[in-house]
Amino acid sequence: MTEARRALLHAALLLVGAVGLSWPAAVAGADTMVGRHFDLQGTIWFISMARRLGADGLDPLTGWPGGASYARLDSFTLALIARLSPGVPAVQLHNLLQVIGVWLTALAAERCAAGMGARGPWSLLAGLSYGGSGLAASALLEGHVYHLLDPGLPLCLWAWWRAGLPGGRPAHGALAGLGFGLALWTTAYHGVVAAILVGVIGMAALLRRELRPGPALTALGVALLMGAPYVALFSAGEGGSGAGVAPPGGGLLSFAPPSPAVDADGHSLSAHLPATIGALAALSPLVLGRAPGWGRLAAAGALCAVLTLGPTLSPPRGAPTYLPAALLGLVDPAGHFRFPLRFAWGSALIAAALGARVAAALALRAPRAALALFPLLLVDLVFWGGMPARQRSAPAGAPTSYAAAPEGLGVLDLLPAPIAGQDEPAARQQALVCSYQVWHQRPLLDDCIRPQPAHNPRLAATAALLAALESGDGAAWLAEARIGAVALHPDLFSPGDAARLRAALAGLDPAPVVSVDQGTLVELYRAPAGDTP
Amino acid sequence: MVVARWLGEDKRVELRDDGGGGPGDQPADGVFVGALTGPRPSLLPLRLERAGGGPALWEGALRPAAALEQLYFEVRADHNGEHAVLLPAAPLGRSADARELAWTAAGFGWAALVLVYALGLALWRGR
Repeated sequence: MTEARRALLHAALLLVGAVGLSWPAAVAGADTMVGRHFDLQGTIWFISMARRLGADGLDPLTGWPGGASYARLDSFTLALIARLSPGVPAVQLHNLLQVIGVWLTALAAERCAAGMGARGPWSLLAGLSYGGSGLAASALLEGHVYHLLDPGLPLCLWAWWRAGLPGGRPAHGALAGLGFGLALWTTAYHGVVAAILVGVIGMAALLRRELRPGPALTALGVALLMGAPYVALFSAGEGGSGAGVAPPGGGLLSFAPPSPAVDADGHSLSAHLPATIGALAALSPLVLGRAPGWGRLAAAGALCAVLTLGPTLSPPRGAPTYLPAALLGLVDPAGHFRFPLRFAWGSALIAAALGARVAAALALRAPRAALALFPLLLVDLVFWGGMPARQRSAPAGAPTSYAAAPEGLGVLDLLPAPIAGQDEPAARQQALVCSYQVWHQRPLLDDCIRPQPAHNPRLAATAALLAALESGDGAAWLAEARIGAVALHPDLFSPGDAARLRAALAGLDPAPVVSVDQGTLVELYRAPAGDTP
Repeated sequence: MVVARWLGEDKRVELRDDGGGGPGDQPADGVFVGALTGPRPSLLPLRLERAGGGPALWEGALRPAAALEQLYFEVRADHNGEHAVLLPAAPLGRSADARELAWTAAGFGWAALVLVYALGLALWRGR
């Protein structure tokens, strides 16, 4: 079998695997959202928003009436895909990208491993373990599908590793720079992971005097070409979760099979490393001892794994130990890296590549016995990893009452004010109301990307509206704010507060449009006609 | 008692003793069960309280992840009084932590078995 045919066969097999791991998304249509947590709704809104986003990064339909600036996007790759597919409903595109993303992730890792010497079929182990890793599952469950749209990280790893070996050429460097850029534009976490891998592998190659100026300078040039615009956009945008303190990481148990608690806590974050590939990677010193370049891979993977643990490691007794990730607080004072667990993308990729290389070497000694590694890996992915059984789905759509809101004017959703220090309930509510916009297409006051209550204009507007209603100036305030309707979510208030709000809003609209559908009760109070400009 | 604000309606269910239905389970052992049904909500405000009144033991809004959800609460008492905690899974021997620990231990045990198998392959000298 030629290499090209083998590669095509592997791609087809990995597609089957991807469909198997993400089949709820494969069979869902435009009416069903597939995902477990509220970031799913935010990502679906993001796809819708990206299609109308101006070249200046301004979205006219949020942050109403001035618009919201989204220069610092979660994923420029996802935004580009959304703009290139305007005819595909946002929910359906999201579902399709789950399947394509798992396949793309697996295929990229398989090619990376093949390029590192893991001949077929053993390179399939790399593809399956990376595409079915804990972080890949987290991306499907959380609703961060863009984490799976990145062939750049495996490309960067293979190309830079190859550039640092004898015979490395400028083309390898260029591909490494390209891979870094693709990773960065897909999600900043992958870009940072790529930078870490490049740093460790490059340093090892330099120490052994195997990295030549040609590949290095080419890689640097391409990386700067692709990275500079991103940095410029990032600097122009606003964001960051806090100041000074690096957030907690996952701990050693992050690499263990995810337990039900991992899904119950709201994020399904897990860096689960399939035991089969982990065991194979652990044997790399024994099996690959004399093979070129394996040591630098292991070092880079180990660093990513340590960063995954977060800033401190707390023993059962005694004081916590500071880990390298504690330096994040110095490097990133604005606190952009809220989830150090995502550094495990680097360790998962390297474990996949190393494990596949080890499997290929072991197969030379015991070919039939080595075939058992495939069913063992499948047990890891399906039983211990829990996919696709952990996946959930929900109906998609907005409550029908929003259709009664006048077009061209904003809708203000009335929701309970978050308790200070509890960002997650506010983020959950924000994701819900922003996702409704995908269907009703009315302007919102929310900043739908930044989850912190302090950055959400809707909260200040809510307080102002309530004050205006109390003083009898509600209609005038709505007119000045160019808001055409107020959507009350009474179930989320205490009965007393809901009754008071209804009484106050009845002065604006004594006959609100009420809908009980899409899993929500909404009462839409329209601003008095003639009072809005 | 569980009180839910379910798409505009108040739904209440008084929890009852589970009667010791499962293996090793005993009646009157402090395990209470109840069920609420209705159209699937996006966010479901819930309150857990004592049947005789008093402050809520637990209050919050949940996002049901599936058409059928099972929720487990454990009522605890400390110097601040009584409060309930939402558990990720059914308690095992009155301790959800034991189940979590068992799962994690089994996972590491599996990993050890796989490592031994792979090590055996690595040390195999063949015929």
